Amino acid sequence: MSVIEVKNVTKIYGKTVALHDVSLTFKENCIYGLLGRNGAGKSTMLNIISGRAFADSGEVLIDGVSAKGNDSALGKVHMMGEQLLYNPALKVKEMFKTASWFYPDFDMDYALNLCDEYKLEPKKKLAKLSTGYRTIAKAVNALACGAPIVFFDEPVLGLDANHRDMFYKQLIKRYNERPATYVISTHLIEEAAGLIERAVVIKEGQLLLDKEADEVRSMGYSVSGKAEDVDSFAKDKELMGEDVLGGLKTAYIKGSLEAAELPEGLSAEPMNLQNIFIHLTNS
Amino acid sequence: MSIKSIISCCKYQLYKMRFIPLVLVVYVFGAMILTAITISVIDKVPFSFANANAGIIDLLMGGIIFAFMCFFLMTDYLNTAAANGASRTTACISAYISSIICSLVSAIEVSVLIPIISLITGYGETWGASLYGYIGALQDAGWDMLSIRLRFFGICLVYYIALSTMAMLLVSIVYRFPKWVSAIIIITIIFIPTAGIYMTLGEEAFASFWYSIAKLLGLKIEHEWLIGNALQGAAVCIGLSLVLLLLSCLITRHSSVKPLAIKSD
Repeated sequence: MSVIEVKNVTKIYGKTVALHDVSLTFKENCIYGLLGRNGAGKSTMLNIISGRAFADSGEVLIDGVSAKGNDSALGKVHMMGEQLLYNPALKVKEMFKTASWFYPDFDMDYALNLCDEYKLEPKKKLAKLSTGYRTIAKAVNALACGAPIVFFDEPVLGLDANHRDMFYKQLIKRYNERPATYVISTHLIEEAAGLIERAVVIKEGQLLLDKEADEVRSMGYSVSGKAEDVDSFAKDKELMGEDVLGGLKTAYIKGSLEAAELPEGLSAEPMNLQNIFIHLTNS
Repeated sequence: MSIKSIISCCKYQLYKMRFIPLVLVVYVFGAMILTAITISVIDKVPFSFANANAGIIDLLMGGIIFAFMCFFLMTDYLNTAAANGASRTTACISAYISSIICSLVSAIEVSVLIPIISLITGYGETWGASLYGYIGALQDAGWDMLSIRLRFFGICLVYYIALSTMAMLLVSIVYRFPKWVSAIIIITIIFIPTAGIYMTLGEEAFASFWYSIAKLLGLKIEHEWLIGNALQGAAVCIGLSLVLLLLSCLITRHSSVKPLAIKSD
């Protein structure tokens, strides 16, 4: 069992409240999407859980044990952060070797196979890699570490479309082979949407939503058509937002659509995760 | 903190320090050859290893260990531990253990090198260890050569441990605080026992302060004692290193992780 409980965590940087009284639970063996706009507090939360930063108040429990300064709890978590914490003078293979000393389930063969797939040279120093390849090295390290909880903070930063696709496929494959709790914090929501089982949305340091991804998708729908028809249809409904283009309008409406209620001339579509996220965090 | 994490951290730190023994050997012999060449050129005398004054080796090696620890800890102290789910306290304690192991290897190395060098140069004394008594004085007092060498090894070991832990504290200060605060703290630490006391309390107070330090460390003070109290010196060095370790742990306890900048970024 590897469950993370975040309890009433608050973190303030100077005059900025990065997290305000956030409480949530990450259950075991599930892929989470941690979503939020820039500066919402996603990285701060992951940093606090993984012991890289400290909360001003509140606590983080991993399997019921406080994670603060506790190696046995922190050892269950691996975080692939945006920044490189390993010594840049290390070679890629040395980074894997180092991780294997801390994570007994580290799979070196798997890591080296992934290096082959990504054409990442294990003998190259981390400092000599391009930003994209450094991201790949960190991602491979995270996928191979064997920790029951793995955080991916912007895991595809600087990767081209092919490498991003490879990463998502690898992540799903690895998850199927060795289930673990993966928390993916990314701005490329649509790309990662297919992976996410549960979505956690943070807005301005506060928890806005924590729901199964399917449940989030069914939170709303979009209706498009002539502006006056859309307005008339949407007037008694709860609007999440709207886009206007010339005489055409798209309204994003909360709730589910009954097939019978849609008037002629209007078309309806289920909202995708990204649209819902945009309208939730814009409002 | 857990034993498993401490072992993992130590493994990594020792892996990174693995070249120290080789660097020290190269340094010692390199310095000896360079000194001999320089003296033969400057004084226009034939080249001879006897010109290479190797008496400073134990002190310089301490300096190198201090500098290396500063450099090493600056790049690998807390970040690697944090990247792999180990706490700050674990990182501090494992750095301390690693520095003890590194000091042990260096002290063995210098203890083996000094007799070899004395065979080459014909000069067996070292300035650092002689502060606790010259070989001749110790022999007069009934010490056999093996005991003298072991005593020398012990003195080097505890001083190297103390120096390594000083490096650890300095790096902890730099890591934890903003640059300007670190600079003020470090300058204050250096200034007070040197120019600070001299300028504020006068020459006599300055001399008396350093005399007390020398006495506390059990050093042989010229014309007063022929043989210093090495055991007292060892106890003070170990005590000091433990205090510095504690301070380092306290300073870094709530420090957020600061990644290193990568030149290509």
